[in-house]
Amino acid sequence: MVRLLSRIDDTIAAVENALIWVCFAVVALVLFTAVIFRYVFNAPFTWTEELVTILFTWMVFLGASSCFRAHLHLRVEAFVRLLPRVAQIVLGLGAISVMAVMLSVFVWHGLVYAFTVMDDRTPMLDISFSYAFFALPVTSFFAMVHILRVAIVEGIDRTFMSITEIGDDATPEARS
Amino acid sequence: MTVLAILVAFAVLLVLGVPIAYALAGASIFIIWDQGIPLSIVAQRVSAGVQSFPLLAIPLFILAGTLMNESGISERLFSLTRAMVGHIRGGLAHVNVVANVLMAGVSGSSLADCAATTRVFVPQMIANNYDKGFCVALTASTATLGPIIPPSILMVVYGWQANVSIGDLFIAGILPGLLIGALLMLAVATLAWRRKYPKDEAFSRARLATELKRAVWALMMPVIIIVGFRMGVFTATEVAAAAAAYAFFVGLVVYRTLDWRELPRILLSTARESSAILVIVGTSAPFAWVMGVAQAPQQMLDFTTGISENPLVVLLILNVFLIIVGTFMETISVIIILIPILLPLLNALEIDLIHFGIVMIFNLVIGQLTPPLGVLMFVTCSIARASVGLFLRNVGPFFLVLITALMLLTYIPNIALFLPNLFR
Repeated sequence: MVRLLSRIDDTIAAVENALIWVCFAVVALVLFTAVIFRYVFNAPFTWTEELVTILFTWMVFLGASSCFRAHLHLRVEAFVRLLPRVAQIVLGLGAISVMAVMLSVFVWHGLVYAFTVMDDRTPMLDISFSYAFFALPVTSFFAMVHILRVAIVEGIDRTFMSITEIGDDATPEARS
Repeated sequence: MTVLAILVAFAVLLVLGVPIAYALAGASIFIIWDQGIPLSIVAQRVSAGVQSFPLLAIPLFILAGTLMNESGISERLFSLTRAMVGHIRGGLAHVNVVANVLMAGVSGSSLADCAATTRVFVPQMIANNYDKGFCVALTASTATLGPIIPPSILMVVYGWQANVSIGDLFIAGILPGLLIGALLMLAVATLAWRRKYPKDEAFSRARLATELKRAVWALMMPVIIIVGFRMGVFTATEVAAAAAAYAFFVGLVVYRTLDWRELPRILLSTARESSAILVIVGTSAPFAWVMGVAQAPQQMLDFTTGISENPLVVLLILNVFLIIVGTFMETISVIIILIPILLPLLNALEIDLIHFGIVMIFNLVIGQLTPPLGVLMFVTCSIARASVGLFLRNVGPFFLVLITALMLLTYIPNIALFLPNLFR
């Protein structure tokens, strides 16, 4: 069961990581080309802003979900750290439940919203606005899988620990 | 719906240990659900929150800094500063300060700079008979320069949120950055003289010339950024894209220390680092919305002007308030949450938003040096394997210097405003 979960999680992460850097590379490349065309050839692009914004939205939310695996989300750990381990586990369970509810809200209402704007089209490229709005619900589902895996494999109290708490050295190679 | 209810919901989630970004979202989801407002507004606001063109400057500036680091820029800048100020008493400590000033001009992220300087300097300084406590305290303190000297991620966030020119903010940061650097060097000189810290190699003009030549491509980076803004046509995002392209060119073609095959890894880690910040930007959108509906900005205005309507007094109150908030909260989230709340107050008292931006950013960065949430402190201590106690016993003098600098910046607005007004 755990092995199946880990495999699903690893697959999601592999897709996620590839999409993240490709999105970012395209964004950077398009923006730089746009700068050149605007200032050197005096022929500004009109379509870049829309494309770049959609890719950027995906990059941010894919990145946010991938940060759960890599322990890169920031939290206020001062209070939690003062408590004995049992209490940390109890709070951890609370945090995981809250996150589950919240991410479900993102998945469900994110989908609802994305479908509502399905027919609204961007002025330049004439593509649906929903392309950008699907990022949040889809990646929220990814985040749920990551959180479940981290909680089971690394421990409930360690689920949301940030890298500064764990220490650089403790990051398993698998998370790169 | 009251401001108090929102804050309590937020605090409960933070105490549970939920990441800050999601605590913001959770608090607004709870309030919106409680009020019977459709929840799809949260999903819409979070998504729309990051769909903003100026925010693209954040990953691009971080990318430019990372590319520079990966191509060995930091090492070149360190050698250059060593040739510049190493011969003074307490040489390596002075090098630490000056190198941070230069690094801050290349990179947009204080944490990355801090990690890099700790790795390079602390072992070297310890080998030269400096005590470890002094080393970690100094390194973390000089890292506060990062967000003040352009380019700066915090300034992008502030400018975007307060709707002021990011270019003006960048230029406003130059003099304050140099002033803070000078004050830190003064503190170093005093301590070095009293504790008889060693000098580094003697000064040599030939060596300085060689090192300057080696580092000149890196030193051009801040020039490009400032000139880019001053031409008056570049937006922050365009400058950031140009900076990243420049760093890429320098690493790949000039220094030839950057490897094509490393690119996916660099892009991935930079994008992730930015996402951790940007998701906070996204989730604070619904949070700011509920705060606005609960009339938090109006209450802030009434409460503060109830104490005093003198801008000088209000600035002091705000500074104390921000120092306290900054020790508990992460810097970017504080800026995003508080700016909409503070804007009516700042406008009513006619406090310049560029000036306040510099004060607020520096104030919050000082908060990163102290527990409970001292990110700079944790980074230096964990890399140098020093205890937080040792750090705290040694940080006192530097902390005083930084607070003095903060007061100077607060009450002499022209330190920040001189350059932007000159160029305008």
